[in-house]
Amino acid sequence: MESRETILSELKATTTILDKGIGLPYFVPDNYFDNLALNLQSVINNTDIIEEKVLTIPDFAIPDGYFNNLSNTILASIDRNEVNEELSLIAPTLITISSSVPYQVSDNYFDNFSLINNQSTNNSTKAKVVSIYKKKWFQIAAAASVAGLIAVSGYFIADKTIGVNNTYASYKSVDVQGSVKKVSDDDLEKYLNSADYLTSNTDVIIGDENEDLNPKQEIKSVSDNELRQYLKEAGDSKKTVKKGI
Amino acid sequence: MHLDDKELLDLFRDSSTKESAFEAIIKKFQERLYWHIRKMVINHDDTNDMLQNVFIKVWRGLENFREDSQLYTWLYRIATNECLTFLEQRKKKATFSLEDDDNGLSNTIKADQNFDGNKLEWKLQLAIQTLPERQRLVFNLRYYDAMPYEKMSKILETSEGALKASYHHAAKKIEQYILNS
Repeated sequence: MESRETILSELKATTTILDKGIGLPYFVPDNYFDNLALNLQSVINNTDIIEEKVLTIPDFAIPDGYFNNLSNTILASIDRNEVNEELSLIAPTLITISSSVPYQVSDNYFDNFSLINNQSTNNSTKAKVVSIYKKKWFQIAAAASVAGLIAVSGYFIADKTIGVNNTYASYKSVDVQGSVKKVSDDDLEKYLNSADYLTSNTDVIIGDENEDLNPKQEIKSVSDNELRQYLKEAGDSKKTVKKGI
Repeated sequence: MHLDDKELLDLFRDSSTKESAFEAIIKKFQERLYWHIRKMVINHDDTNDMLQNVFIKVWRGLENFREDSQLYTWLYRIATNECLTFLEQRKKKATFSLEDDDNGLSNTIKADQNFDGNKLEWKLQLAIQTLPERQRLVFNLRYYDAMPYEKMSKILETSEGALKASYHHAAKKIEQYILNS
């Protein structure tokens, strides 16, 4: 490119009109170049939006996420066909029944589920600690109650047994003859007098009819047959009692 | 935003995105797991409790999930175990109270507010309750979820052949029940 001075000197040599360097008659709006970059950017953005609109607004609407799930939908229908073909061979009646489950679930259940679940995971971590203590507390309380119950009832039962056993053992170990020997005759007499009521009521046991009973005479008056009969009966009754025991 | 399982697991392992990743996992699988459980235990409240238990177990175990299997398979396995444990406990309780547990589930179906004994869908549900638990699981996964035997085999840890045989027996039994009812 040649310099401006060269061009002007060339023009002076060829023409007298153009040698003064006449400027351009066009004007540019004020701040045109200052705003040019911004204006261009907005034009470019608008063009993008228009192009995008042209691309995203088709003649036929497509459900949201259609293309995301397309492969899954195709695979599912292939699997379903396979199941139906199989059923047509083994249980054709089942193909006529809808393969949708007749149960229902409340509206928004799945929308709210994750919130419930997050609470559960958080709570479960905390609750786990609490529940362990609770469990221990209950276990200890239950164990203490049972132990207490056993101890109290055991005391009563064992106490009676021990009492009976002790009494029996103590009677067994008493040296009656030795003890009687130690007691003086006066003491014995006093005891018999004080316990007179025991001996005075022998009639209850023996009966009035036997007060003047003389065994020797009575036996003489009994015949041998009667005696044999008595002994036989007495012997049988002993056997019977033994058998009964 | 549609994230695949690998991305979700990576986000879960990052403590700053752990909770949001977990929420995304719940959103992604909750419906499938819900219906998987519901078809086995019938009652919504029981299903809700179990679904929560499943996700609590997921929350605790996901960090150690080794990715030997797919996340989907792992979740289904947890839910299936949860179902079987629940039904086992229910059966024990029924034995204790001298009740027939299968009748219990049938009664739960009949107690549903939308139950209509004349509709085939409901008859099918009653027929399914006559199956043993594992056969019921296989039938549900195949018939309702159209799950391939290969996937089912990974979830139930049973051979494909055994699952196929089980499904065929189940389908025939159910057909007989419906034809005779």
